[in-house]
Amino acid sequence: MKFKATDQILSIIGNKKNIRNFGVIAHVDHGKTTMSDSLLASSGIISPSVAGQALALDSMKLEQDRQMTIVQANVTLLYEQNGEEYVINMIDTPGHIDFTGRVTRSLRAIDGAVVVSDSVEGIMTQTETVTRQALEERVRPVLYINKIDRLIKELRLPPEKMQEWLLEIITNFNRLIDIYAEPEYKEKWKVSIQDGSVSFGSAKDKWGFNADVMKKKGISFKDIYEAYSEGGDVKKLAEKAPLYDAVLGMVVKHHPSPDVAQKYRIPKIWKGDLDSDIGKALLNCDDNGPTVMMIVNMTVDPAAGPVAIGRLFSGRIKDGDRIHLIDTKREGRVQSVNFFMGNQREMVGQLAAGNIPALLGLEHARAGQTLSSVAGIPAFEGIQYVSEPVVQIAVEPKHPKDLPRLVEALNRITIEDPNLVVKINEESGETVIAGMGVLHLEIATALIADAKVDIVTSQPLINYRETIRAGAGPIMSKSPNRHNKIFMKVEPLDEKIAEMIRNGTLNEYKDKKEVAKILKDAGWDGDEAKRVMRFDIRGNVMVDGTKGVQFVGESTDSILSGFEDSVKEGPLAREQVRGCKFTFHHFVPHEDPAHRGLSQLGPAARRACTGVMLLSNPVLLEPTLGIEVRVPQEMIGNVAGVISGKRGKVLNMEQKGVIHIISGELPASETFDLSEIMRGQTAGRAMWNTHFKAWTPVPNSILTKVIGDIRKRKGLAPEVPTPDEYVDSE
Amino acid sequence: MFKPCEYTRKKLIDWIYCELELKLASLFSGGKDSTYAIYRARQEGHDIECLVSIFPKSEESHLLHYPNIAVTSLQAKSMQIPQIVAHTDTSDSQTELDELQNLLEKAKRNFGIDGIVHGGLFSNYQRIRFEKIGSNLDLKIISPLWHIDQKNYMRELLESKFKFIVTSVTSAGLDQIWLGREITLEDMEELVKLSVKHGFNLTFEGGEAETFVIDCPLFYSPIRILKANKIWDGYRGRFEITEAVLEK
Repeated sequence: MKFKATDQILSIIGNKKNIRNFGVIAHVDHGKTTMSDSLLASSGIISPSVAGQALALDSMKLEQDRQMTIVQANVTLLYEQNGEEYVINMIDTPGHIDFTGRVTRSLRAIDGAVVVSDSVEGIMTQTETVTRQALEERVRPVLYINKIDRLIKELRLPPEKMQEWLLEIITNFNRLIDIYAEPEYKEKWKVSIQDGSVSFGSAKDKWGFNADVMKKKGISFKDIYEAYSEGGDVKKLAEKAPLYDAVLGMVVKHHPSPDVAQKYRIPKIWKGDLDSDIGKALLNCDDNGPTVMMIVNMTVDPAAGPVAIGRLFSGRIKDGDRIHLIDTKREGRVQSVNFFMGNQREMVGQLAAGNIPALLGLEHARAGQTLSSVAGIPAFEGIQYVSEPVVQIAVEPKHPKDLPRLVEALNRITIEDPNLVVKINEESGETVIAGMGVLHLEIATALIADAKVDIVTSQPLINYRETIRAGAGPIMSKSPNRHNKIFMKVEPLDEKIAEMIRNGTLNEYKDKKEVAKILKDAGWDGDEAKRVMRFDIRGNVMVDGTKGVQFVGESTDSILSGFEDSVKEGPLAREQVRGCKFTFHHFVPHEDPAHRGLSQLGPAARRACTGVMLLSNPVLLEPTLGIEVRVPQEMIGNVAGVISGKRGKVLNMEQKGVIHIISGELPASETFDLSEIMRGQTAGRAMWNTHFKAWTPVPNSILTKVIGDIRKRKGLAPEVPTPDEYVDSE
Repeated sequence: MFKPCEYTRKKLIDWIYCELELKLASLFSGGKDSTYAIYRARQEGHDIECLVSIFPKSEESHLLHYPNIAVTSLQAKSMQIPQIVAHTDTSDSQTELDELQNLLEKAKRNFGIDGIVHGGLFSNYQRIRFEKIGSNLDLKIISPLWHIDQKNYMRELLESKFKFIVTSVTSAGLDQIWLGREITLEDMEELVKLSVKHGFNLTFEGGEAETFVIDCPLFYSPIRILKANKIWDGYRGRFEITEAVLEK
């Protein structure tokens, strides 16, 4: 059965019109995995009877324990509509914001998304975030409203009320498209019941329908009420209107085939010349063009090693191909070309443009990279991450002999999840893992434990940031030999520009004119906009403000190295600096090059930057997390109490049936024991999740203590240095 | 008749000078380079008639050391070479140069020198300025350390039994642990690493550090430091010798 399906699939993909690549977007617990399994059941890979419980997509035991999807799995489905067969690649994307890096990467591979929404809870924050990202990647979303049975069984809505209820969800969803879609897609991509771009159903009970199914099978909302009333038969409903018919029908009808999608998606996601041979091949999804593939996910198979999964945008790829890894300028050899089906890989020998191959043998490949048969082509634009690591823990093996296995396990989890950052502290030799939240790190340590390495972890540590609240300067600092003077100014950097620097929109390799235009549009002086020396990825910039001074050019590298040091370790607590615009105002160098080398100008520039920041009302920023808690009414007070007890704020409260959704925010530093306290206060009846929200100033009341603690931990003097330790006079 | 152009004439004289025993004034700071330059010049057969030292009162001299002034007289005594000293009060390099020229004129008058010897290694900045004074006063410039391999040179110093301490540190990568320390072979290995990492000149020619020679084959007696102050502000530091004597 399975092999037959594989053969069928290969014969069908000759025609691009019969291929779809889509993903599922959903809030935690809105039923995505259940739905995906139900779809999987229909493709003949696993039997329909176990689909509901098997959670076949959740290949990791860990995910089953948590009932949450962590790592995306890719599945190829077969679906028949009106006598035409379609091959549908389904990429499972996690809805949890802690791993948004994975979501964004998988979005690049798909042309359409099915957004799953719980009928009672509607569109939630995380759904909104991910849908917005999809729209930014020109991925067409359609809507599937799940758990319709809850409206009947829990809310006891009569039919006309139910329609009203559902229309409101649809309106809310269309509002997202209104806000986030680009102008030309705003109207085209709105969903409606009439054209069948909205489906309803219950993934648990395996039924679903949309307008098209209604017409074809003569089903109406009445049938649903009947099925769930006394003596009704839900199984029968599922036979008559199976879920996969509704969802895959929607995918086939409303999601574009790859050749159609690439025409308008490539200009958005690929920055090369569209008139070049490669550009044309990409736009046309051309099988005979050069091979170009973007890796969206790396997994490590215990037997086969790293598996690179991605979207083949142009050309063919087959066993034994030599391929260039564009981003790292390396070469690799494809051992074998595979399809993913559930958690099974099928060797297929060769695949053509528009598909999602899984390649073995490319051990140096990483998620996000571009592969091509042609060296030196423009890579796909780096995926833009929304989150940055805010929490870290130190790990060490319980038994020193396990160190090599720990290193191997760490290597593996960072291949699979590039949002986890592993670094070795050069001085202490500590291994540190940084992630996006306490939950993210809990999962990472669980993965290490799965690899059978006993580890000891430290208390989680929060990453802080430093910034300034005023401008200052120019001030002057001398080099250690006192023969070079560097004059520096600083002012707060516009948040929009800082963000563009962090997400890579503004970088040094970008065309100077384009950079200048962006900066001028943001209100910079025209001359200034042309004289950027360095965009610092943390969200800082250095501008050359010198006028007619000698030796600036040859001293640039040394000065920038000092600048880099000063923003890597800020003046207050040696945490990263963000949001600062430095101006290298004036330079008095020594005439002898031997006296103005790196060892002199580097420290001078660092001193100047640090000194001027100290004069600019510097402040420590802490990561603040957004939190969403779902609890029964009687627990609202307790939850609000927990949040405010953690220096947090309740921002909104919403009733969805019997469930109340409390949203708020609280500092990450207060979340370490949140699970225990929340469980204790709500008798375990609260469901909650957090996501990174913003960097916010540490309140003055605790600022000195927080800074003192960080400095102590880093072995620094407890007092913040004074500006005159860094600023020299003539 | 063969009439060499100006350039070849100079070359010829240079070549002849190698064979000659010249009377030289040493541009002397008390550090390793100027002292070793004397040592090498002597080996080449020249006579060192006097030491010429300019001590800037300003810490920011562009050309010369800011040394432990008083103690250099002990070095002069130990080498039994007369020393002429001047102090300048400015960080302006032209004033320093003028002062240096005055001193050298004096040396020419009193000691009848034919040239000067200095310890520059790679600094064209220094060399060009010295050469200018040389041509003004018609003095030959002897640069025994010119373009010497830095690593070999540092080793050679120790092998030639030069003992020197670090009297100031003014560079990334050098902190107070170096102040007053006598440089050993192991230290040298460490300095090689640091200089690569932080991008400074191994021989400190860019003013990354200053040294003071406490003993060498030119001395009849080593210098013993009795009292000194370490000053370190977290960025740069000085080792000020306040009391020292000749051991013998």
